[in-house]
Amino acid sequence: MMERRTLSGVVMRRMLLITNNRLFFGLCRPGLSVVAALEGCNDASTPLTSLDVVRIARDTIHRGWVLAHHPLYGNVRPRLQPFRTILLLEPERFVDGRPEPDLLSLHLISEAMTVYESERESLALVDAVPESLARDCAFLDAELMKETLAQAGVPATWSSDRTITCCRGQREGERL
Amino acid sequence: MKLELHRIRISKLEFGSSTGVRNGVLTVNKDELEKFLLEDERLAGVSLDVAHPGESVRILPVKDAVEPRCKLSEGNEVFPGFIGDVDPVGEGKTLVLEGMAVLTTGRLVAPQEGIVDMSGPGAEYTPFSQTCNLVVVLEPSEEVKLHEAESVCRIAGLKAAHYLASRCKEAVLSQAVAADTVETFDAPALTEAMHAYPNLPKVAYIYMLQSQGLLHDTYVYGVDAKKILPTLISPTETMDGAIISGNCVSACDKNSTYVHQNNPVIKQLYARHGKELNFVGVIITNENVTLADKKRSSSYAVKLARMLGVEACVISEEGFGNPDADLVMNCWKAERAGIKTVLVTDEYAGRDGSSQSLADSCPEGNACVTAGNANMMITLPPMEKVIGDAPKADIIAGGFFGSLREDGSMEVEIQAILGATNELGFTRLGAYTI
Repeated sequence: MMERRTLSGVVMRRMLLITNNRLFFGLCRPGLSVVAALEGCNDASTPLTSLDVVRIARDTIHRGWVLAHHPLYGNVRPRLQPFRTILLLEPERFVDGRPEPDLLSLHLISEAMTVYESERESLALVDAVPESLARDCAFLDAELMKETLAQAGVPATWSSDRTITCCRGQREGERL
Repeated sequence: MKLELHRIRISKLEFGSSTGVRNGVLTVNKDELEKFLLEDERLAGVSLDVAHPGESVRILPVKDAVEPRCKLSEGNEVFPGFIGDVDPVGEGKTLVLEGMAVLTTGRLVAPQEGIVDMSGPGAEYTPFSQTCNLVVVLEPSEEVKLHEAESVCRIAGLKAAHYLASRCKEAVLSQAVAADTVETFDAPALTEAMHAYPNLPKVAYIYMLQSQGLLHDTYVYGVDAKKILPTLISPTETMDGAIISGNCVSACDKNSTYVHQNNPVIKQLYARHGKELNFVGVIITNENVTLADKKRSSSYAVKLARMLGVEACVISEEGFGNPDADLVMNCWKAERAGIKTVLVTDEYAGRDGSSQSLADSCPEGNACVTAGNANMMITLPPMEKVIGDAPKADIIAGGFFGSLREDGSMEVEIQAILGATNELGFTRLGAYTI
């Protein structure tokens, strides 16, 4: 789990993984919540779109959560990749007891929304791409999250059959 | 550091019984090179083909382009960390087979991209329609995992390029074949560089390298660039292949290894050195995923520029989307440190050009060079011959980049064309004053 140090010692920081990538649905780690079935999507068999993921992240950032990484891919357009995964860190700053939005996170997620909205009509959808393509895209999405997860203390590996495996600390993830 | 590039101009490729160059014709022993590459047991198949400018040939999906080079002098070999040892390069004499490229192709993962048309309208958008191309079609073994497959294909391209130059080396050393041109590049010690041309502005180059993860990586002396702090590199080291592309995504604006070997920004800074400016150094930096890395690397790159005491920087980007944030951070941090910047990027402004071009921006970024709009559509006519992963062409075209028509023509965005909007300026697009 992401740590921050204070005068009194190390404080653990909760994390929120917002994703429509099936490879992450079973990812468990103390302090990590995997949000895969929210906002009108009640079971994992009808995954969110990538735009849904970005929108949920934006709304959560407005509640003070902080981006751990840039919300856009490098070199991959929304209409080429049906999956998106975003890791958020719990609010750090509070004013009058209420979480204060992180301005850099707000700026970046707003710019990302502009990009995703501009391709709304041509978004790649999980159910609309061939299975082999969906498998490759899911794998790439997971791969491109690997460094972020590792830096956040969630080392994960993908086996040859391309399913995700937690490396340590497995137990039921917390809910929001 | 002083480097001499001994260039032999290649005007034709052909297969023959032995590999060597004569009168601008490079003969390649096909069997020998295929067997050499197949020594890597992770490869199930290798086949070679050639493609020349003007031919009705389409190559796809192209992973990397490499210019054949090898050392003529003693010392470490080119492509350090892969072919050469990890010791420094960028000094001595290097043989260059100019006018040709090794293009690697093979399926790694969908979606695939990277089209090179040797003739027709698509050829106008890729610089590799102008080179004689040895195409290396690679088939990794089934048990090889994706990470390894990318690595296998990357290294095979380097091995092929080094093999070709090495087979011509003896003829050059024995003076049986003379270089067409010899060009010398000098990269003096900082103590000397800082005091040169006191009346000219000191300028550095911040060279951004794609480093997001699998299929989006770059290697420096064999090290994954996402693991580095920004650092200084001699421009002559880049010419000896110190920077290797592992970036297989976004064909139009990825920097292939060939482009790193022939970086036009470095070339132009050298051309203006001592006349308009004092080119004092190159700072390589990465384009990582996490915000902490982005902040760290941009701050550190600008800190190095401040330590050099430069008045201005050229900053080039690789790719789009997420790296736009790195470009912008590098820009405003440098400007606020009193260093003027010129940015080199490309645009994703929609097919009508009216959308927001970059995913991020800042008021300080007021001097920006664009390499073009990657969303522009083009119709590629059918070609008589397709080299590469032909059965997947419909997925490339129809599923993602446009539509594949029954007659074999394709409607694609120029994003699918290798080097169409290259952000180092290694492209055929340009603006001209009439």
